[in-house]
Amino acid sequence: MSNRTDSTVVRPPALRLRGVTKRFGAFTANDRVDLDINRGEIHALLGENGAGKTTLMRIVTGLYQPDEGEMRLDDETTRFRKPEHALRAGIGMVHQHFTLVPTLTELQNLAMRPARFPWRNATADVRRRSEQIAATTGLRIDPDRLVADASIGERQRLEIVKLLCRGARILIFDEPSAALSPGEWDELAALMRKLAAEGHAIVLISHKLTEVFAVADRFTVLRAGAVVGTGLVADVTSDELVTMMVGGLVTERPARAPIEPGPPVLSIRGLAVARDPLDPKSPPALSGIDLEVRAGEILGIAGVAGSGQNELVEAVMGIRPALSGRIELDGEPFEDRTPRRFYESGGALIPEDRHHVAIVSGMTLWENVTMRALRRPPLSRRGILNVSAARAETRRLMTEFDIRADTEKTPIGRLSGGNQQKAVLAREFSDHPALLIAVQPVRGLDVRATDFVYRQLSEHRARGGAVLLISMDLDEIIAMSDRIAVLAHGRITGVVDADDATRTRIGALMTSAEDTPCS
Amino acid sequence: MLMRQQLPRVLITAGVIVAAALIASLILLASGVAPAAAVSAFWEGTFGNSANAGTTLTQAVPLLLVALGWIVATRAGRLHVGYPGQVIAGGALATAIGLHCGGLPGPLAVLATALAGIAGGALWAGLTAWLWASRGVLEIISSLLLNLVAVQVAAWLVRGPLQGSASQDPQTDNFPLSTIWPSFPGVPGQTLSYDVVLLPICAVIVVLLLSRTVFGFGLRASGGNGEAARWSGIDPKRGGVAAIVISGGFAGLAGAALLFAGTAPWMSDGFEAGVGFNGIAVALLAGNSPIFAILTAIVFASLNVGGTALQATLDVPSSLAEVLQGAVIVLVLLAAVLAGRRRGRTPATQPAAATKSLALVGTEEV
Ligand SMILES: Nc1ncnc2c1ncn2[C@@H]1O[C@H](COP(=O)(O)OP(=O)(O)OP(=O)(O)O)[C@@H](O)[C@H]1O
Ligand SMILES: [Mg+2]
Repeated sequence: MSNRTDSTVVRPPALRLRGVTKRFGAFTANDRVDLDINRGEIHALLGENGAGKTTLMRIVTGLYQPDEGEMRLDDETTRFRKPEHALRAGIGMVHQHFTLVPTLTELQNLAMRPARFPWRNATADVRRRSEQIAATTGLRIDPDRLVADASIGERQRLEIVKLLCRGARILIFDEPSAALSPGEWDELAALMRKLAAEGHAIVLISHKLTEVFAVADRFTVLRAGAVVGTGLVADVTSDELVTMMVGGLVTERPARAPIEPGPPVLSIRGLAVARDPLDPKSPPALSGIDLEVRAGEILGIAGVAGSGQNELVEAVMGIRPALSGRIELDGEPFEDRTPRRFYESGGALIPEDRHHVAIVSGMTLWENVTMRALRRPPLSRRGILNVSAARAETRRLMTEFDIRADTEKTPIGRLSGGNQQKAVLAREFSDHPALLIAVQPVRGLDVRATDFVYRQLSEHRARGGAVLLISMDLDEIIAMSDRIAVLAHGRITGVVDADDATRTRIGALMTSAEDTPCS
Repeated sequence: MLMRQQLPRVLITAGVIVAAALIASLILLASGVAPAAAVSAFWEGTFGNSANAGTTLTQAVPLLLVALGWIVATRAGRLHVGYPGQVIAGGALATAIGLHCGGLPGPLAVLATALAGIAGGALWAGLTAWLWASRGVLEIISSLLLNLVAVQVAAWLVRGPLQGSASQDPQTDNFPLSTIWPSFPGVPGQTLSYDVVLLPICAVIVVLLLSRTVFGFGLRASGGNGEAARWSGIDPKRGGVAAIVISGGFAGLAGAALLFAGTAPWMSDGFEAGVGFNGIAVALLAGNSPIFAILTAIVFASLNVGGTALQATLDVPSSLAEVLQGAVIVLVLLAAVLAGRRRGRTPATQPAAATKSLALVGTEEV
C-alpha cells in the first residue's frame, strides 16, 4: 500500500508498522495497517470518526497491544507493553482526552514522571526544562497555576510541554487543534514545523483539512480500520482526501435563508461572576455582560480561550453563582438557577469539556443518550424506567445522528471521540430546546459529522430555536452566526452583525480590552 | 454474552475459594488435623443436615443485607465503611422497641422490630450523610469513627438503660416471644428463620432499584461521574445522601436480623460479630453484583458456621474461621487488583478509571 515516493531517503523510517491489526471482540478497529513515519516529516493520519486512528496510535504508544503485525522503530522490531516503554523510546502522544491531574499545579504535573532517582526532587529540573522549551518554542506555561484553573487550551499546551520535557522524538498529536484558537493553532503549526526541521517525526491526527494542507508533508487515510491511501500532501486535493475518507463528497450546505428574529429567548442583563465561585471578592471573571439571543437566531461568542466563556455558560446553567445580573429564559425570569431548571425552562447544552461534564463513561450509550429524557415521561413513569423504549429511542438516534457503536449497550467510553460527541449532540438536539448553548460543538468531528451539526444548527434556527454558539474558531463563528458578540477579558467588547464581520474586525475587538483589564 | 461477562467473576470466585481451601489445609496440617477429616466435619457442620444448613442460611441473611447496602452506596460513589456501627444502631433500636412490643400480636411485633432496625441503621448512617453533604466530611472517615462510637454506645446500653433485670450480665432481658422472628417449623432446632426469604427478595429489589428506576439511575450517574450528573440536572448530593441512608437501613435491618432471628434472644454488646465488615467482603467477592452476593454471603456464612463446627468436633483453634475469613478478604482484594490490572490494560479511554478506588474494581453494571 505505502508507495515510497521519497526515494532519496536512505535512513530507515523512524517508525514502520507492518500489518498491524487490532480487534475488540468481533470488531476490527485496525485492519492490517502499514505505515511509515519518517524523521523530519509531519505525517497526517486521516479518517472519519471511528476509523481507528486513535486506536492505531495507542498501539504505537504501548497503550494497546496489537493482535497481529509488527512495529519497527529505527529498523528494530519493538513491542511496548506499557506507555512508559514507548516514552522511554522517545514516542509521546498528546491525547484527545488529557492525562493531567487537575489538583496539582502545572509544574507538578510536569514533574510527575518515572524518575531515574525517585528520591530526587524533579521540580527544579523540570522548571528549568520548561523555561528552555518556552525560550526555544514559545510554548509558555504558568508553572504555579492549578491545572483545574487552566482552560482546555492551556491544558493542552501543558501536555505538549510535558512530552517535550521528557525528550520525545516521535510526537503524536491527536486532534490537537480542537481546543485551540486560530492564533494558538498558528503557533502550534510553527512549532511542529520547527520540531520536524530539528529531526523529530510528527504524526498529526486532524479532521481539519486546512490544517493538514498547512503543515503536513505526507498523509495516510484510514477507513474502517484499513489504509485506503497514502502519499504526499502536495499531490492531493482536499476533495480527493474527503473522498478517500468518507467514500464520497460532502455536498455544499445551502445558503441560509435570512430569518426575521423573534422575541428574545435568552436575555442577560448586567451579569457579573467572580473567578472563584466560593469567594465573591475574588477578581471578576465576567462583568457587565449584556446579551440577547432571539428566537431564530444564532448568536456567536468569539474570544480567545479563557476569556470568560466557561463562566458565562456555568452562570447561565446555575452551576456557578452570579454576583449580580438578571437572566431571562424563554420569556420568564430565570432566578434560582439550577441545571435542572435550565433544562426544564427549555435550555440545552453541548458543553466544551465533554469528558468531564457531559458523559458518564462507565454507563452505556443508551443511558447517556437518554440521560435526561429517561427521567420523565414517556421513557419513565412514576419513577420506573421504560428501558426498552429508551433503547429503541437510542437506536433511532444512532441512525439519525450516525453514531457508530456495536450496540446501544456499549459503554460510551468505548466509542471513538467523535462518536461520543455525536451521542451528546443526539441527546441535546432530541430535547427540542428553545435555547441551545453549543460550545465548540464540532470538536473532534469528521467532515461529514461537522457538516451534519452545522445543518442541525441551521435547522434549529429555522424552526425558530435560539442558539448561543461559543467557539474559539473564528471561521466557524463567522460562518454560522447571525450576530457575533466578542468576549475579551470577561467583558463584551462589541456586537457585530454577521454581514459586517471580518476576521480583522473581530480580531481587533478580541484584543481591544487588553488596555483596560477589568480588575 | 451474559456468560462471557460473568465468566471472569466466576473464575475469580472459584480461585479465591481454592486458594482459601489450600491455606485452610495448611493451617489444619500445622495444627495436626487431617484435612479429610476436617472437610467432612466442615460439611457436616454447614450443610450436612437440615438443622446446620438452616443455621448457615440464616447467618447469610445479615451478611447479604450489609453487602446490598454496600452495593447501593458504592454505586452512588459513596464509599463509607460505617456498616458495623449501623448494624449495632439498628440492632439497638430494634431491641429498645422490641422489648416493649410483648403485647403486640406476632406479625406486628416482628414488623416493628424490623422497621426499628431499618430506622436505627438509617439514622446512624444519616449522621455520616449529613456530615458529608453539609460539612464536606469524607464519609469514609466519619463512618469509621462513628463505628467506634456505636460500639461504646452499645456497651453502655447493655450495662445501663437496656440491661436486663434477671442477671448482672451486660445483656438485655430476653426478647418477648412475639417479637422473635418465626422459623420454618419443619427444620429441627428451628434454625431456619423465615427471614431467608429476604435473600432473594432484597437482592432482586436492589437490582431493580438500580437498573429500573429513575432514582437508581440517578444514583449510578452520580457515582459514575458526579459532575456530569450535576450538569444534567441530577443532584449528586441528594443521591449520595439517599444512598448512604439506604445502605444504613440495610445494615440496620441486618442488625435486627442478627438479634431477632439469631441464636440468643437478647442483645449483648458483641452481637455485631464482624458482620459489618464481612458484609463488605461479601459484596467485593461478588463483584458488587446483588444476585451473586447471595452466593458469596452463603459462602461466608458457611466459613463462620463451619469454623465453629471444626472447633467443636476436631478441637481446631477457634480462630481458624477468622483466619479463613481474613484470608478470603485478602485474596478477594488481591483478585480485585489483578482483575483491575487486566482491565486497566485494555480500555484506556479513561485513564482515571484505573486509579479509582480498589473497592469499585469489578463493579458490575446492572
Ligand atoms: N476499548 C475499546 N473497546 C471496544 N471498542 C473500542 C475500544 N476502543 C475503540 N473502540 C472502537 O474502535 C473504533 C475506532 O476507534 P478510534 O478511537 O480509534 O477512532 P478514531 O479514528 O480515533 O475516531 P475519532 O475521529 O472519532 O476520534 C471505534 O468504533 C470504537 O468504538
Ligand atoms: Mg480519535
